Amino acid sequence: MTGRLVAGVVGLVAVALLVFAGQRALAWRGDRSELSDGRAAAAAATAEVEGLIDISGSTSDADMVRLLDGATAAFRTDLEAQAARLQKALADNKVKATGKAVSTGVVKLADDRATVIVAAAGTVKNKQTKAAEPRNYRLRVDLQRVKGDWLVSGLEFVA
Amino acid sequence: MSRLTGLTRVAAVLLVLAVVAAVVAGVGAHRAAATADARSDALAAARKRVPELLSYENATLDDDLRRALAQTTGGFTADYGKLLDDVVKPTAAARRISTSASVSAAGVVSGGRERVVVLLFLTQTTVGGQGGSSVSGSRVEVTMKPDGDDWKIAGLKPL
Repeated sequence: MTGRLVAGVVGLVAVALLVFAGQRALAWRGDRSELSDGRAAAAAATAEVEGLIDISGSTSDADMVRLLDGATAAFRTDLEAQAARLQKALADNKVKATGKAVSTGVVKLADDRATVIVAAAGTVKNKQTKAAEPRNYRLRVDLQRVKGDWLVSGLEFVA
Repeated sequence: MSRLTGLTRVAAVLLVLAVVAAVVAGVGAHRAAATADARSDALAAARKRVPELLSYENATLDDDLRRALAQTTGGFTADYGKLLDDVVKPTAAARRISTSASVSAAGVVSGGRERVVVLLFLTQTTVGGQGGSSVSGSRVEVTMKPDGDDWKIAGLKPL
């Protein structure tokens, strides 16, 4: 009888520990996925920003499509509305802009929404300028996760 | 009796496994939570300390530069102290400069419990002795390290 009691108590303790372990494992996974979500959102913001600042009159339609594909439906509509005018302005003014993100920071991250800031550096040359002029950019990018992908829902320059 | 011994043995094995699972998940979750806390604590500390580091009034120059240095930790304290003594203090005193930095945006670039890198967009307003003032925007990466219960600035890199 004592043996069965001991076995029962030990078994109960084991089950309680397993429940605790399961709960801790979930918390662990939550914190780890927050880190990887932050990295994924930052990478998506970087790609979209570089697509916008590394642009010229000869930027291909494929590049424009890639830019549009990185945006949420609402922001895509905004971009599409301006895409044709932008491409014409770039071509008319012989704009050649290059740029790269130099640092990216996650401002906030909650479930399927993130805000990321991007510091970028580049050059801009157009038909008025003799040489390419250096440009520093400060951008705030809002993102939403749509079907597993982080898409840009808003983008603004920080004054 | 042998059946009970067998049951007890099974329960004991189960208990050992449950203890191992609980310890692994418990420690893992604790570390992951500590990493998440470190990142948000370091971000908050950077938002508060970087303006203190980069602001001073000409009328209270000595106190303000002492306070600026109190925001730093590690080897950066000596480096920044030298910069304040050799460059900032004589220049600010001679030209009667006051300057104030504010954070326009801040986000976590990388890091964990020992060290966190934060990207900040700063707006610096500077007033000279002649009364003219200038406003400039900049981007910096600061390295934050734990110092006692708090996080302090262990490095600053303009971008």
